[in-house]
Amino acid sequence: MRNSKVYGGFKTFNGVVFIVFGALIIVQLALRIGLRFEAVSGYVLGAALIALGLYRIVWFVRSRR
Amino acid sequence: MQQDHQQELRRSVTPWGSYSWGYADVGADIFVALGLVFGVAGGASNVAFLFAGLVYVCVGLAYTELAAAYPVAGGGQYFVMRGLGDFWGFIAGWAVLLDFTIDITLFAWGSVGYLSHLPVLGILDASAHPLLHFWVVLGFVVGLAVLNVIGVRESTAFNGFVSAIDVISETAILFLGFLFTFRPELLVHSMQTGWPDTFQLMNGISLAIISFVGLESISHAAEETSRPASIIPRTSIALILTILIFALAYSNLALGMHPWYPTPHDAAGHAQQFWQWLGATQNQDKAVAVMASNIPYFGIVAAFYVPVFGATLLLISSNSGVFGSSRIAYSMSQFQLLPSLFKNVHRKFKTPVISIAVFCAVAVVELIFAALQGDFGYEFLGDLYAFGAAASYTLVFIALIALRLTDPLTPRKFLIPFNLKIRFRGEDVYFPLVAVVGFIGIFAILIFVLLTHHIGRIAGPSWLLLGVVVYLIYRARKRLPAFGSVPRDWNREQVSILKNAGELELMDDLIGKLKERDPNFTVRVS
Repeated sequence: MRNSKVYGGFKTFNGVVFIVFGALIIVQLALRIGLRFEAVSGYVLGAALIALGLYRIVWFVRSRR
Repeated sequence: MQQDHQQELRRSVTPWGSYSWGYADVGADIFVALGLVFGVAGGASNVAFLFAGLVYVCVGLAYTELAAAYPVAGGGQYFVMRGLGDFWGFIAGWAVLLDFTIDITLFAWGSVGYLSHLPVLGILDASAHPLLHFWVVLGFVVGLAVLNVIGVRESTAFNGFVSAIDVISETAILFLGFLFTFRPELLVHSMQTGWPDTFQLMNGISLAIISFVGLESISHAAEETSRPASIIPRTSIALILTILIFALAYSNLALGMHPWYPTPHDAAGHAQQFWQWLGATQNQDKAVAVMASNIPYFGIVAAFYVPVFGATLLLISSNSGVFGSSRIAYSMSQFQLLPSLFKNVHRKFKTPVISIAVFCAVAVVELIFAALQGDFGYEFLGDLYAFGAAASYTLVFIALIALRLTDPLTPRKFLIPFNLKIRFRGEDVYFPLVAVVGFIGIFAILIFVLLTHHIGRIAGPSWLLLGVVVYLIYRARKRLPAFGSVPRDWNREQVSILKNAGELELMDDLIGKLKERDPNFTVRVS
């Protein structure tokens, strides 16, 4: 099941969603708050979402090799 | 007559099982920590979670490396014992035991708190009906103890199911919350107007570490995970990121949230911001449910299911405290750190009945002390929880550094990034810079706990002192070294651990290195 196309597609989609969420948070903060101390925690949140998304995709691609 | 229960655990935990085992423990923490942190750190709560979260990433990486390299149950206690010797192993294990007993009470308390958010169960509210609340929490603790004695505990499959639902549920709360209620300008305003003084910020950071406690379960799961050296890094890094994301997302959302319903006035009749309402004493033990019910439309459904779900998740976590404390005590008595009676199992149910009874009794004592604190009972438990975690994690970082220096031959499939290659006692070793950063961070949090938690700074060290007395008496009666270690052949034990884990390539690699170092080294591998 873990090697099926459906599972792979789900995992990749999931990863992409995390990356999009993370990017949206960073963009929204940059546009509305800018580079201020109050936004640092939000930027880290966005970066963590992107990292999780990339991590899921990379692991999936590695496991398919 | 009682007999020793000594059987090897079956390695049947899959990647998802390993992830969910950890998640069932750590994932529940935000349900407890959110209200507590907002209660003291106010407008800087997201910064408190960020500081604690970055330290937690270092702690998580340390546990990942150690659990993958030494895949045995025992967690921090085992790593510290191997790295620093029996005495410090005992201290780490005893601190973890404090956390597990607090875990039982704190999460049972939180479970009742979440139930009290349901309109029909409002009578269970700790502020309004403290005596009834006390008896219900006591009933939960005793009930869990009985269930554990008769051998009923949650299965990996059940944990997996609950974790999956929880990830979906929390993601939905955050997604819809950010979509419908989040105002970045309000976040800035809340931070500027609600910024606490330094003392409160330190207190908030030390409480925020609560939302990241439970990494012990990664290492407990290690003994039951197939191919742990490969699986554990993969699952625990995803777990670390997930928990960090939830903690940061909840705290930022709460500060920038424009709630659906008007926020009630405070006790003095003054208007208050939503995050102040969230950190108020009556909401501290149900903060996530309060947040979820304030999301437009979704809040109508969430007001009913989040309290029930939160209560279930917290009860599972409370149960893991009962189970975990008995397992740690069992592991410690195996290594002659605690009297062997903690290894005794019930004749009929084959469960460690003495360990369960002793540590649940400790949990009940803690509950009584918490109840005597009135409105600050929940915070009292949080204080102690933070102390136990900070103390044991501090030792784990030192153990990691010590093991890198003294045990360079053990194969580490996962190595924390950023290392300095140095020569130590004639061997090449990789000195972990992240462990130094993590040690400084967690040690700072330990200092914050001692500085800002009036009861934690007395009760926590008192617990350790009590443990040291028990330990010294036990070791003296057994004629074992008090501050030294019982001689053990760690190299042969490591070969055996890798063999049992099914990591045969790593085992061969280790044997090869050991033979290279000492041509006379022999080991029987059957």
